[in-house]
Formats: sequence, structure tokens, C-alpha cells
Amino acid sequence: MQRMDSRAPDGGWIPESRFVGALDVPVDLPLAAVGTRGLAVLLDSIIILLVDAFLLAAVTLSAGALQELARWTLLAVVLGIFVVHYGYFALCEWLMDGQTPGKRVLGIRVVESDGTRIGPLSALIRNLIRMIDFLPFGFGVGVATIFLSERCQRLGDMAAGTLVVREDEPPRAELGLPGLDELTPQEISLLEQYLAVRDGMLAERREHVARALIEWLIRRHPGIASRLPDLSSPALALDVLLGAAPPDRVERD
Amino acid sequence: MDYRTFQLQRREDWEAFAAGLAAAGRARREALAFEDLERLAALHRRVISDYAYARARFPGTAATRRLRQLAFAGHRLLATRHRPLGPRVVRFLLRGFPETFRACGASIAVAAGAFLLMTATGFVLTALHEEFAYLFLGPSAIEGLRRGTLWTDSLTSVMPPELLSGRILTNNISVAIAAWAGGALWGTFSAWILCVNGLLLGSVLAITLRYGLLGNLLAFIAAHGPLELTLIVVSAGAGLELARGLIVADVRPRRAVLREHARRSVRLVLGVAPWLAVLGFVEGFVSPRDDIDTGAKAALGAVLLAAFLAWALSAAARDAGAGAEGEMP
Repeated sequence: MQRMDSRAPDGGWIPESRFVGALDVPVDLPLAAVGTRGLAVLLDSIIILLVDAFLLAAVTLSAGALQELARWTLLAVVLGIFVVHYGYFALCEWLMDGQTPGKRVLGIRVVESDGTRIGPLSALIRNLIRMIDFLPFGFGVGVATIFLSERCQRLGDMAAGTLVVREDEPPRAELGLPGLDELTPQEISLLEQYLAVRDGMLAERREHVARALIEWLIRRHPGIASRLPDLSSPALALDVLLGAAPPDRVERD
Repeated sequence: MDYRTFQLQRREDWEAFAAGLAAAGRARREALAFEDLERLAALHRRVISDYAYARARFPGTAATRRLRQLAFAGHRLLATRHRPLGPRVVRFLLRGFPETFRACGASIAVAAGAFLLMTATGFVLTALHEEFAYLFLGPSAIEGLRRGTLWTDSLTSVMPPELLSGRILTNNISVAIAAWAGGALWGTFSAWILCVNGLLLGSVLAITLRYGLLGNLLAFIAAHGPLELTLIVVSAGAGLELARGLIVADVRPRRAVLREHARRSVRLVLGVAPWLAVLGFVEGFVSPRDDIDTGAKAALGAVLLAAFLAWALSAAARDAGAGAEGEMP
């Protein structure tokens, strides 16, 4: 169960950033963890390497055929590699609303510190200072400043005034909850988390967890016992109780 | 209101807002039709108000997370002011860069002073101790000097000018970017680039003078040298300006000061980079050629430097002119 306190009302335990949107309602966004950001950089670096390899292969293959043109092709490749190395991150983040392909895969996004879309100058600043964050090797400066800063910013983020936030996955489970008005938000949250992951559980394990959840619910709300359908499978009974569509795996198992 | 009733009653608006966001796609706020924008803004307010209710009443639930997600996506679309790039670039070329150059004048002056000091130091040290030049030139280059040939003579025989230009311009732009970004380390790296380049220039001048090849060297660098050195000094000045954002005292929070200095100083790098690209071609195609008269090379170098300085100093000149007029009765 996630920790709940006044500072993180949405149940997150990762440091959050807060920006004030329309109607003066503060919106709290979870900040991306350093490992997630590292993985995103790793994916993007692989993409850059592939582009480099493609450009070099193209010039090698075409060199014989082009003869005189080959020198200019060579210049184009030198400039192409330069632009990709310095511009990949900044261009992607500017044109893809704060995401690179790597960041998109991992569900994180760069935004201005007021929560608006990242602008071209900010994208340029944070990604040119990347070379300092990389020092002395393997993002030493960057990781240190992420750990030390209040809002998990590396040096480039501080200079550009940007934040890297984690975007929630869209909820995978719809909790119908017919007639279960007495549940607390924490209980709802736990049941939703169960519904979201139950498809991935082994059948035996799912029955075990469902039985434990039913016992826990009845202990907290004795009235629920009378509404529980009389089924041999606790998992199915819980699904019916919660008004959830049965998972696909039931038929296959 | 219980969780289920809340979801059932309000879900319609959430779905409509999500559909509207999906339809807008990656479009900017300014690209939307007025009716669509108005409808999205109204739905966004409902989503935000639902989010405020949900996070107080049902913290941590799927509905709250979804509402937060929608509120955030709507905020990025509706609260971001988009300024089209074309007019921004034109404004930068006409006014932005000269004004930035004037605003960063103190940092650039410090960089230029340090560079000249280091050039003089390198010159004197090499004049006194020839071995100092070994720090910058390889043994074979110095051996060549003793035989009366400049190391630059072999450049184009090894590499075609197209490739040489590409290598030089990418290398110089990299140095300019590093000189700026190095400012984020309290200016130490910018200062280091200034020192190394200053010492190198002084040392090379001294050792070629000693072997009677100074004229050849000056002929080689006449076309690209003056502006190239100026641009590196300006980039290092941009680095010092960035470093000031980490150091200067201000009533505002540090992050606001740093952000302002970063945005101002990176504009210097943006203005310098195109000139370095031009110089790459000058250095690849013009400088190594012996059939071009040294006078013509020097004239080209002077024109390039004058063009850059006229552009960079235009705002300061305009100010001086306006100041003179203001003083008149």
C-alpha cells in the first residue's frame, strides 16, 4: 500500500512537483526517477548509434558510384552526424511535446517548471548542458544534482527551468462497485490495483489473493458478506462483487 | 457523493475532454478553431474542478489519477503560449543578438582581457623557453619548423577541402558550445578554454617568429583567424555570463537568476554558430590555397570580422546614438 500523507495526496511517495493551473487548482505531478531517466537516455543513445551507422553505411556504399560527388556526400555525412549528436534530444523534445522516443517508451516527459509545453530555447539549453551533466563519466554531475536538488533536476534542467515528470499510465481497470458506497478511498485504490494486475497472475495465485481480499473486506465492512455471490471461485466472486468485467484469462485457464 | 456515483455522473465530460485532446493531437493552441478551443477550455475547467474534488475525496484512486492526467495534458495544450519560430528568428537576427551582446558586454570584455593576457603570457614563455611550444605542437611540427616548413602546409594534401571544412566547422562549433556549457561549472571550463587557446596562440606566434615563419603563419590565418578567435572569445564570454547566474547575488531565487542568465547567454552561442559554419568553409577552401594573394585573404578576414562586429555592436551603437540625441536641448 502506498504511503498517504498531506504532502502527496494522490498517494505517490516519489517527490512531486506542483504547478497551479486554471481555477487556481494546484496539480501535483510525480517526478521521474533517476533510473527511468537513465534508461530513456540509454534507449535514445542506441537510436543515435543506429542513425550514425546508417549514415556511415550509406556513404560507404555510395562512395564508389558517386565518384566526384563523394566528397560532398562525405561533408553531408559529417554534418549529419554532428546535427544528430547535438540536436537529437533538443529537436525531439521541442517537436514531440517534451518527449524523445526513449522518454515516450518509459512514459516520462519534460515540461517547463510551470507545467506548460517545453519551448525551443529551454530544449536547447537543457540538452547542450547535457555534456556537463555527463562529466566525469556516465552522467556523474547529472545524477548527483538530481539526488541533491529538491525537484530532481540535473544541471541542464536547472539552467533551462525544466522538470521531468512521470506520466501515469491510463487506468487499466474500471471499478464498477455497485452499492459499495461505504469503502474508503484507500480501499478503493487497493481494489483497483488488484483489478489492474489480476490478469497477469497465475490462476491459483489469483484465487488466493481474491480470497484474502474478500476476508479483509468482510472484516472491515461486515455488511458486504450478504452481497457476496455464492460462487466456488473467490476470484470470480470478487469480480462480480466489484462489478468488473471478467478477465480474459478465465476462459483460457 | 460516493466514488461510483461521482464516476458515473462526471465521466461523460472526461471522455469528451479526452476525445477533444486526442483530436487536437500535437497541434498548438493557436491552430485550433475558436469553437473547438472554447469547448475544450470549458471542459478543462470542469475536469480541473473534478480533479480538485477527487483528490480531496478519493485520493490515490484510478479516477483521481486519470483526472490529474487530463488536467496536465489540458494545461500543456491550453496554457502554453506559442510564438511562431519564423518571426522569432527574424527578431533575433535584427535585434535579439545585438541586444544580448550589449547585455553580456561585461562578461565578453572579461573573456577578451583574459584571452589577450594569456596570449601575451604564451608569447613571452615561448620566447624565453622554446620547449613551452611542445605543449601545443607535436615534435614533428617543430622539426618541420626547423626545416622551414609550416605544419599547415600538409593539411590539404591529406584531406580534401570539403571534408576539411566539415571537420573544422563541427570542431569549432563544438568548442563554442563547450565554452558556453562549461560556464555551468562555475565558469572554470570556459576559463580553461580561454587560457589554453590564448597560450596556444601566443606560443605559436612566438615560435614561428623565432624560425622566421611568422609571415607564412599570418598569411595562413589571415582569412579565418581574426573572426574565429573573436567568436571563441565571445563563446567563452557566454560561458562566464552563464556562470554569473550561479554566482551573482540577487533578491530573486537562485533558480530564477540562473534561468535568466542561461537564456541570455545561450543566445550568444546561437548567434556565433552560423559564423563558425561560414569560417569552416573559408578555412577549408581559402586559407590553404597558395594561389590566393595574402592581401586578398587579409581583406576577406577583415571584412568578415567587420561584418560580425557591425552586427553585434549595432544595439550598443543605436543606444549611444539615442543617448547623444537625448542630451540635446
